[in-house]
Formats: sequence, C-alpha cells, structure tokens
Amino acid sequence: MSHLVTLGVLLSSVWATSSDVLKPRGVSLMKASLYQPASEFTCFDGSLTIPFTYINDDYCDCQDSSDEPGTSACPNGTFHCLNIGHAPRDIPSSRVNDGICDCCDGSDEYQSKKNCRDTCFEEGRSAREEAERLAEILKQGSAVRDQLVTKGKQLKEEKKVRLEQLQKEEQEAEAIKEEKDEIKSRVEALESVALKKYKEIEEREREEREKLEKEEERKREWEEAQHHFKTFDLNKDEKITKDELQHFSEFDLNKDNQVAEDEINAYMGEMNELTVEDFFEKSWPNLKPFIRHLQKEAARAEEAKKQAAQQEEYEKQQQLLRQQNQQMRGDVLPEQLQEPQVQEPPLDEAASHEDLGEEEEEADHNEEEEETGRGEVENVAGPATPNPPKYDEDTQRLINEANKAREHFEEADRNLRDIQREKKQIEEAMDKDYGPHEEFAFLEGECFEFTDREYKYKLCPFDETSQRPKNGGAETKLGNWGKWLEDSNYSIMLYDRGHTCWNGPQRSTHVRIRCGLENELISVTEPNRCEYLFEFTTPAACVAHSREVHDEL
Amino acid sequence: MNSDSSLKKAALCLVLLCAAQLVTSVDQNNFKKCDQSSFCRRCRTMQPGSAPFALVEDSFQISTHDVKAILLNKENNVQFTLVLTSLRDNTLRLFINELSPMRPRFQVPFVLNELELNNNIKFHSKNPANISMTIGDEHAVTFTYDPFVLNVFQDEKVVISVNSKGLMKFEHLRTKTDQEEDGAWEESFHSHHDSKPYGPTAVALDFSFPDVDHVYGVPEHADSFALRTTDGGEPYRLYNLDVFEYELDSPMSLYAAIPFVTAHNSRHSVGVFWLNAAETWVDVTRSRSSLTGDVMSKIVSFVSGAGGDSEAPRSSSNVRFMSESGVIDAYLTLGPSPYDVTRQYATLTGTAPLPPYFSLAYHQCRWNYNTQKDVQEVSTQFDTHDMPMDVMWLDIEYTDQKKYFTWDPTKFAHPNEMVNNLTSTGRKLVVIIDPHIKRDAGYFLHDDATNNGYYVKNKDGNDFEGWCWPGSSSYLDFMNPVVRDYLASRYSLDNFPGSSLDVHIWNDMNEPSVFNGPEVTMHKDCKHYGDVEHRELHNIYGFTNVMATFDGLLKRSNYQQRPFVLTRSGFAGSQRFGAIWTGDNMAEWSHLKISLPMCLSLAISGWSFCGADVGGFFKNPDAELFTRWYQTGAYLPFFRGHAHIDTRRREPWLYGAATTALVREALRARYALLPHWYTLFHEHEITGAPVIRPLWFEFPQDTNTFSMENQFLVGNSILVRPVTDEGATQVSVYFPGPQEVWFDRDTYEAFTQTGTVTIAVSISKIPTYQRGGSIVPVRERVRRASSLTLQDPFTLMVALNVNGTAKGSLYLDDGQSYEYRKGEHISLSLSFANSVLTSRFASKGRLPTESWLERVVILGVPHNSYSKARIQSKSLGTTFTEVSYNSGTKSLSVRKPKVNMGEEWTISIE
Repeated sequence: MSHLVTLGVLLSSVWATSSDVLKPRGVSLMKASLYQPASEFTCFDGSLTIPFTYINDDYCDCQDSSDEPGTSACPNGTFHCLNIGHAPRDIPSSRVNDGICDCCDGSDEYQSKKNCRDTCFEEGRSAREEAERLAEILKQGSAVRDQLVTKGKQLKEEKKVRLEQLQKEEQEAEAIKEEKDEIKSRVEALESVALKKYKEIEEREREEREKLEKEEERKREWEEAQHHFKTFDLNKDEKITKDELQHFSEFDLNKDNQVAEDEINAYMGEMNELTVEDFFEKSWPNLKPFIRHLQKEAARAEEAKKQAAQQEEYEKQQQLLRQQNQQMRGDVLPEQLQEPQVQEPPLDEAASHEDLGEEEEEADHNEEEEETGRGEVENVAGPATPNPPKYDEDTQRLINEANKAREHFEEADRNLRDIQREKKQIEEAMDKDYGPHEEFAFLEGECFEFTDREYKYKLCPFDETSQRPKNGGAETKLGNWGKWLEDSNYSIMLYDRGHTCWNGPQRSTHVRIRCGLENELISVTEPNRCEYLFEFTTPAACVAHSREVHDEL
Repeated sequence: MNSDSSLKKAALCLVLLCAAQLVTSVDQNNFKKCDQSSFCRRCRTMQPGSAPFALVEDSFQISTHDVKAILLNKENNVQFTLVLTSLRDNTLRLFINELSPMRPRFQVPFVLNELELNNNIKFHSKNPANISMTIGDEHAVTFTYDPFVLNVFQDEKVVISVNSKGLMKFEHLRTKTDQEEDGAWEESFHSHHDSKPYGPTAVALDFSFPDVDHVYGVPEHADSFALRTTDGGEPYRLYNLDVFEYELDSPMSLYAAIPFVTAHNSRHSVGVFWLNAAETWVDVTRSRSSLTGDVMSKIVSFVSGAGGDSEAPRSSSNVRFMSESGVIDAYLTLGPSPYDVTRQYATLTGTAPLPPYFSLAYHQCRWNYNTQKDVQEVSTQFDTHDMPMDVMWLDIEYTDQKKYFTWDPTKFAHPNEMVNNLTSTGRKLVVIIDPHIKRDAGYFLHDDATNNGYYVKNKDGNDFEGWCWPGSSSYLDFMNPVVRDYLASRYSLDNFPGSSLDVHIWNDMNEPSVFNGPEVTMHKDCKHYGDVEHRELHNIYGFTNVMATFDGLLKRSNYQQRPFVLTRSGFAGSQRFGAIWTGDNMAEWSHLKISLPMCLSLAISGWSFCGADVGGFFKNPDAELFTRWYQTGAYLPFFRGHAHIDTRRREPWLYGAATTALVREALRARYALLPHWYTLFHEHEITGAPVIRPLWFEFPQDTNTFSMENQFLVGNSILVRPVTDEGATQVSVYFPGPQEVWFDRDTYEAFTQTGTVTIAVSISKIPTYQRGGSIVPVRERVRRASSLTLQDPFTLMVALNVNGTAKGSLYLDDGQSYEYRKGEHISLSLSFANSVLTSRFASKGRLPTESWLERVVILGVPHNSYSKARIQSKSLGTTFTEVSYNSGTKSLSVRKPKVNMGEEWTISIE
C-alpha cells in the first residue's frame, strides 16, 4: 500500500488525484484496473509492451492509443471526465489541454492556461431539473396517450362496423339500380317509337334548308365571278380575251415576268373570248381555286409578318432570360423575368411539370361529370334543332315517363356510387398505419398550422402537408401522406409526391413527431431545397421508452 | 412556297426547343468569339510579316539603363516612342506608346511594385540593318530596324524574339473618317451597343521563344496546364467574366485574368508579362524554323553576327497578345530557371503576404447556411464527428435583402452571439461582401454612394444601373481613391456591427457580374473616375475591389492583424490581397481533374493561394467523388467545401459512416501538414516561389514532366498524385529525376526508379510521396481548429536521399499578426547528415514557444545499427532517448527528444 502511495506522489502529474481510486488521468473507474503500476503495460491491442512510466507521458506508443488516456498525444484516444455532480463523459484526446473547457469538472485542461471552473454541480442540477420536467410531461402525456389508444381502437372498430354495413347497403343499392335500369330501358323503347315520326319531319325540313342554302351559294359565286370578270375585262367590252388576262402577273406561274398563253389557256376554257356567262360556266370553276390560293397566300404573308415580329420579341426575351437563368437565384430577378412569360410557342414540351398533378386531377373530375350527364332529355330531339317540334299528347306523356325513369335510374346510380365512395374511403383508412396501437388515428381529419415570416404551413396528418404565402397566393402541396420512415420507430412521417419545384425535384416533407402535451406544429424548416422538416408534438408520442420529449411547454 | 414556309416554321420550332433545353451548360452564345470582337477580328486577320513598323535608325538614345528610339508606322507615318528598360534581376521592360497621342492613352495603375532600374546596358555594335547592346554579363539585345524586331539573347542564344512574326499592331487615336472598318467606331453584341467614342485603339505584339515547345500561364482558363496552340481555333481570352456552368478544355474567359506567360525548355525558362487591363486575346502558335520569311530562321548567335548557324532553332513557340486598348507595356523575365522567372515576376507584381494560419486550414461553406442556428449546429457537428474545421462561411443570404454590411434581422438576428459561438472553439467566420450595391433609398451605402458620386457612370454620365443579386444595383467605382477608402472604412468594427476581428471577407461577383449586361458584365463605354472608360480597365475592377477590402481589414485592426480575403476575380498582382478559387465548378470528375491545371497555372503566375470548391458547386457529388475531392483538396493551397443552394446538404458526415471516416482522414492529413504549408507560404512571401509547383520546377530538364498536370509538388519535397477518375483502383505515378528516392507517406515504401509506376489506390488512398533528401515538419495532434494547435509539439519526417542526407525548414510565428516582420518568428534550418539531425536558426527572428519535438521519423535507414539518440540543447544539456527501428519499412523512430523548437539543438543517432 505504501508502495502505491509513493508511486502516486512520484507520478502526480500523470495521476488523477480527485478520486478515491488511484488511476491514471483520463481513465474511467471501470477501466482503472487495466492500468497496474506494478507491472509493465501492454497496449490493449497487444501490439506493444512498454514500461508503466510511459503511461500518460505525452508520447503515443500504442497504436490503439491506450497508453495515453490522459494526454492529447494519441490520435484516436478518449479522455474520461468523471464530472462528479453531473454525468461522466468521454471526450476525444485531442480536446485535452486545447484551451477549451470541455469537461464540466475542468479536468481536461489540467495544463492549459485556461482556468476551468468546476460547473458540474450547477449543470448537474439543471440537467436533473430538466429531466424531471420532461419526465412529468412524459407522465402526463402518457396518460393522454392511453386514452388516445382507446380512442384509436374504437375508431378502428367503428370503421369495421360501418364497412360491413356499407357492404350490405351496396348490394341493396346495386339491386335497385338494376331494377331502375330495366324500367328505364322499357320506357325509352316506347318513347323511341313515338319520336320516330317527329324525326322524319325533322329530316325533311333539314333537306329543304340545305337546298335553299345551295342556291344562295350559287348566287354568291355568280356575284363573285362577275366581280372578277369586271376586273379582267380591262376594256370594259363585256368580253374577256387572252390579251386582257395576260396583263395579270398573277398568271405568271413560272415567274419569267411574262404571262405566256399556255399559262392562261386553262382559264380560257379553250375559247378566244368569254362573255360573263361563259366566264362563269367555263373559267370560274378553274379560276376559283387559283384565286382562293392567292388570297390565302396574301393572308399567310400577313400572318408570317406578324409572327416574325412576335418571334423577334420572343427571342429578345429569351436572350434576357438566358442571362438571368445563368444566375437564376430566383428572388433577385425583375418580376417579369422570373418565369418565362412568353406567349409563343405553346409547345407541349414546355408545359410546366408543376401543373401536371393538377391536370390529372381535373381530368378525373371531368370524367365523372360526363358520366352523370349522359342521356339528358333535351338531347332527344338532336342538338341542332332550331325549333323543337310540338309533340302530341301521347308522345309527350311517353317522354315524361321516360324522363322520370331516367331520373330514377340516375338517383339509384348516384346512391350506389355514394356508398362505394364511402366504402373505398374507409378501406383506404383501414389500410393506413396509425401507429402500433392506433394511437395516432385521432389525428386523421385534423389539420395543424404553423406560420413563419413568409408562409403559413399546414399539416393534415395522414393526408397532406402544404404551404401558402402569408400575404395570399396559391397553396403549394409539400407532400401527400406516404408512410412512416423505416427504422424511425413511428417518430418520422414521410409526405412525398408534392408539387414539383421549378427546375428541381418534387417537394417532400418529413414530419418529426415528439412527445408533448399539446397537438402542435412547432417548427418548419427547409434543410434541403424542396425538402421540408416539420416538428410536431402530440401526447400520442409519449411512450415510456421515448427519449425525445419536446422541451417547450 | 407552301413547303418553303412550313420548313421555316420547322426551323423556328427547332430553335425554340434548343433554347428551352439549354439549361445544363454554358451558353456560348452569351460570350464573344474573337470574330465578334471587332479589334480581335482586325488583329487576327493580319498576315504574318505584315506589321508596318520600322525603327528610325538615327533616333536611338542609349543610356546605362534604357534604350530609346522612334518607331514608325510606314503606312501612315504615325510615330511611336519605344523604350527598353533594364530592371533589377534579369528583367527587361519594353514600352511602346504613341509619340503624340490625341489624348493620353491609359496605363494600368496599382499593379506594379516600384521598379528598380539596372544600370547594365552597354552599346555593342551597329550596322545598317541593326544595332546591339549587351545587358549585364549574360544578356544582350539586337534591334533590327526594318521591319522592327527585337531579339533578346542569353549566353549568345536568342531566348525571346519580339515581333519576329511581324504581327505587331498599334492603332493610333484618330478622328472618325468614312472609310473605317465595320465595328471600329461602334459595335453591338446581341442587344448591347458599345458606343466606342474613341474609335479603334488596339495594340498587339508577338513574342517568339526559339526552341521552346511548352508555354504556360495566361490564367484563368479551364484548360490544360501546358497551353494548346490556337491556330484554327479561338485564342485564349482574358476578359473577366461570370461564366455560368463553365465549359472545360476551353480558351473562354473566366473570372480572372493574368496576362503572364512562361516559356520553358530543358535549358531555360523565360516569361512575358503583358501589362494591359483591357480585353485581351492570346494566340499561341508553334512554328518550324524552315518557314520562309520567318525572321527566326535568320536569327543567329549574337556574337557571330549575320549568317547561318548550324544550331538553328528547330522550332519555336509564339505567343501573341492582342488588347483592345492601352499601350504596349511588356516585361520580359529572363530566368533562366523556373524559380528565377517566378521571382522576377514577383519582383514586378509582388508576392502574397503570409496569410493567417487558420486560412490554410479547412473552410466550410454553403450557399447558404440558413440561420445562425444552422451555422452553430454545423460547427457543433464537426466536433461531434471529430472533424477539424477552422472557418464557417456565409454566402449572400445572411444579409438583409442583399444589402451588404447588414444582417437578416430574423435569420441572423444576433451575429455577435454566432461569432462568439464559433470563436469559443477557435473558429472564424467569413462573410460575403460583393461590389454591387442595392439601389434602395434608405440603404446607407446606396445613399452615400449616390450622394457622393461613388458609382461607376454609364456613357451618359448617370449612375450605371445593372441587375445583380439585390435586383437593381449600382457598382462602386474603385478607381476613385475616395471610394476605396470609403469601402475600406465600411469594414471597421464600428461601421459593420456584428463583425469582429474574427470575421473575414469574401468578395464575389467582382468581374463585375452584371446579369443583364453584355456578356454578363459592365458596358465598355461606362465611365470611371478620371474619365476613363471601363474598356480600359475592365480586368482590374476585381483587383481594385479586393485592394480596398484588404486595406479595410488592415485598418480595422490598426494594421495589427493579417487580413484574409477571398476573391473570384483578379489580375496580375491580386496575389498581394488574398486567395482565389476557381469559381462555380460542377460536381463532376472532369471538374475535379481540371482543378489541378487551373491552380497550377495560377501558381506559376504568381498566385499560389488557389483552390476549387470541394465537392463541386453545382450538382450533387456521389460518395466516391465527394471523398476523392476532399483527398485532392487537402493538397491544394485553398481548401474549402462549397455548394450551390439547389444542391442537397453535404456536410462531410452526411454520406454515411464510411465516407465520414475517409473525409476525416483527408482533413487530418491536411491539418498534420499545416506547419509545412505555412512554411511554404512564408517562403513564397520572401522568394515568390509557388507553393504548389509543376514537376518541371524541380526537374527542369525532365521533358516527361512538361505536359504533366495530374501530379504536382507541394513545395519541393511532397509529390501528390490525386485520384481523379471514377472507380479507379490504380493510378500511374511518375517519379521524376535520376538518383531520387520517393517515400510513400503512408507506407514508407521507397521508390528509387525514374519513370512511371502503377500504384494501387483503394478509396482510402491518395498517393503522396516525400522526396528523399527532405525534412518535413508535421503536427500529428489534430485538434478542432488549427488555432488550438499553435503550441503543440512537432514530428519531423526525415526522408534520406541516396547520400543519407536530408534538409528542410520550419517557420513558426503567432499565426495572425505582423509581429513576425519585427523578428517575432522562428525560422529553422533543419539538416540531417552523418546520422546527426541539427536545427539551426535561419534568421535573426526569435519567439518563445511551448512547442517541442515529440518524434523524429527517419525514412530510408537501411540497417538497424542504432541503439539510442544523444540530444544536445542549451536548456536540456545532453540527454539520451531510445530509438526504434522498423525493418519492414526501414524507418527509424526517435522517441520523444523533447527539445524545444525555439532553440537550436542536435540529435545524434548512435
């Protein structure tokens, strides 16, 4: 014993004296027995045996750093702070005597100029108080959670019952729908027979209308031909000759600045001169397409000119945009340059992906409307009828009956689909993972908001996350309910497939869930662009083993 | 007609589609090709031998330090003065200006140190064709009168020949006539118009280097280290531009411009510095001596005079500078060794002053750390993962709406608290301050600048407005000394609340970047202080910005603290003010690879303090690229991780445990070597020697090394061969020099053969070698930040050469102040010979230190014939310690000599 004490005095700079057990500096009580001053020291990895005086002599002998637990000499060693009054701690050896107080007992700075005060008691006390406070939250939260578990299970049971009921209702509704469909078919057949004669009347009226229109068309053509005849009849003798036509450069098809005879023969109908009647009968059918072509050309030239002007404007904007895009750190740009607000061209490729999600939804919606809209009674007489014929009494009665049958069918159909929709909803909900004990189920249908400087964020658990600019503007979806992250032990929810970022990925959200007495969205950040992190507290997360307890009340 | 128009429509669609898809790489259309810049077009259409310039024979005046003559443009009889001046340290200045210009032509200020004349010119001989002088003992010059040619001889051989290609151009100032070429008095690029009120003012001159196949320099380009020839393609362009997603292997301009070229062959190195800050293009060609009409073919030895020479040059490299305006002011640095050239260039433009110690350590940046909490958390995470880090950085988002010298009131509400948090673990902060000023009434800087006329003016004399980060912005005119002082004073701690002496500065966008300007920069007809067009000085705008910032940081500490400034733009001489990085690179292997030639080019052009964004700025690197980039970045002078705002977070622990461990090792390798880096930077300040060097600096006769850019030297003793290929499992390493030994720094394996060896590289391996004959000091104790290690012990790595000797040096000081210049430093000369390692003071400097010697590792000890080490020093007297020999690695380790590094000592191995 006295031998040991002597050694302790001898090695006072090496040995920690603040503890009852004699051990080299920086060694935990548990490992103290591995350092026996009476014998040589073998590195823990067995690679080298050295005199015991080499322990903590500020020179690294062992590759595993085991000979220098109390100095900064070894690269991967640790220094153990006892921190009496608080929790003990291991710090990397490189923090020994570096001028920074890492251990609350100051034991890591035994040779530095830094005078580290022992703060373990104060720190320990506040740590204990904090732990107590959190334990209290956990306790209270845990009690609430028990109720939530009960509620969750109850909700699940209710869904199950409701689902069974819906299955029955669905069968009934299907039968009713079939029945109404049958009635409808029968009445519609009668209606169809009765309407037949009215259809024939309509047909006749249509033919007469068409004949009239044709005559009018010929009259218009005659006038147009007369107009052109007058243009070509240069000497106003009521006759057109080849000479006269040769004055019109439009006929110079081969562009040799001469109108050759063969270039106009086709339009002279193999005659030398034409009266206005000849012109109309013989020339006009050939000439008309040619003149139409010329008119179109002229219009197209005009259009091309307009387009060229627009194109030039577009290119200019593109040029400017490209310069901006180079630097595209969004918010710095003049407003009109931020998005390509260019009318031209409406290329499909250019369609913003951001809109796709919405478009799909809209398409679904339209389909449904079309379904319910089929077979409206007004369609029976055809859409183009200017004056619907007056029906005789019997026919009208049949129509009314058919309308009624259709109405009844629609109602039955609607009823069935309502049931099916609800059934689907419940089935989907029953597929969702509301936690191992259904403790998060009560959050379904609720929404929670958090507002920062710019945005109002919304979390609707098991549904979606979103943001909306505080000063108005469209809502942006930050994600749809995806799943609980694997290995997160029901502490992190993933909402993905949100709206696509400009020039970036689809938005997604992690919702980190911690124990708290309130159901509350407490912070939102965007650690990566378009990847959001929501912090949410709820008593549902207050389980005894949960380490993380929200520390604000 | 019909089909015609539909074709047009198809073509139209094609154009539009292309425009829509051009988002992932540089849009070349935004930047000029030579033929889109009228002066470049005019210069480049000249035929060799067509320069109409002749010297007037009887105009020569020769003094001991200069030669003056009249140069005549025979086409129009415009006269020019030519002055050749001999400067200290084998340097000649060739100055040509109009004899009587209509208005003074611009000459570049700020760049040059004070020139020291050398009175060593003597008339030698003349004849009807030429006149010759000797310059000192080793050099001579010959002027041929007509056509004008200047040949510079060293040891009787031509080393530089000026205008021997006959491509000189000097457009005198004139009044406008009707017969001017297109683009001479105004020109347009896209929608931008350049009014060019002074007409054509270009200058151009060719320099030939006989017998030289390799020329280097004229950074900054994302291109090979040895310059390519440019005939048939675009010339290298020097016009500072903010190029978005720049393209590799291209002569296009980037952010900085250093018009200095180095020519090297196995006998000598020379350089040409073309002092011109206007837009400049550089053609590089190679010619054979057999070319008819080539003046070079007629060039012969200085002594034997005219006539044939059996040793006629086999080929020559030719470099032609073409600038839009200014004068011809060229500096010929005559070497003859590569180190002579860098010293001579440093004599002209200065060296980088010793940077603060922390700035050589690792920097962590991102656009952007979102809040001060974010900054603090990242800093803490470095500790959690036991990774060293010295500096956290803030990009533009820390400001209140991009108003520099302000803080975002919500996200960075308590900057002092944030800075204190960092400094409590020995760390620093760097914040960005750009030269564009938000045009926002009520913003003090804008109000001051508007009221006092501090902004650059447009051609009509109003404050120039352009778009940059803040939206509508104006640009401080640093040509005005008052504006430089004003900016400098903004950095004082009183004027910049939230800053402290631990907050350093990053000047970005200082090309200047103008989003809606021609080529994303300022219009050339903008006006600066002194009625100077932007055209004249474009390439020194960034230089003057950083000059003012450096001055401000000096002043804020009352000249006590060394500033750290990072800049994106720069010019010759910018090395005096700070570090440069290679701008907005990309997370791609090719960009990792190009970072070596880019920094090497800058290093041999005076600017050593260079690095590339580790990880790549744009895009997301995978774990392998990320790891290799840290392993490479650890051996480039400026070591900073940085990322674009659209990239995923990539702090080095976010790639999983394996990558975290690999990056930790790369960081530790850097920190261990910091004493060596610091010593090299100190050497650079004194001698101008680049901190990283191409192999030919040390092995100038080894032609195998002349085009080498995938390996380099840190100082003269550490060979680095970064792994820059995806999936690489082996690399080729070239070991230069006969009679050299190279020791693998990880395994101590010795390589004694000259030539290429295939080395296996696992993901943890980056091949680095210590040269036999060198002693490298390291600090093996890596702490959270380098500032915490200044009193820590050293290990000396002694690598023996074939003679069993080695030498090295170690420089130490307080790491932050200027006291070292007053002698408060330790400069040690270390040598090993005859089994004795000695440390001797290499200067008069002294500084008390707690640092001691904890270990000596001697590599290349063939036998274990030693049992102990005898140590002698003043304070310890004579002591002994044990040594241990590792027969596997043939290394001997001296255990804990314990000598203090602040005194001289001797360690004998016995």
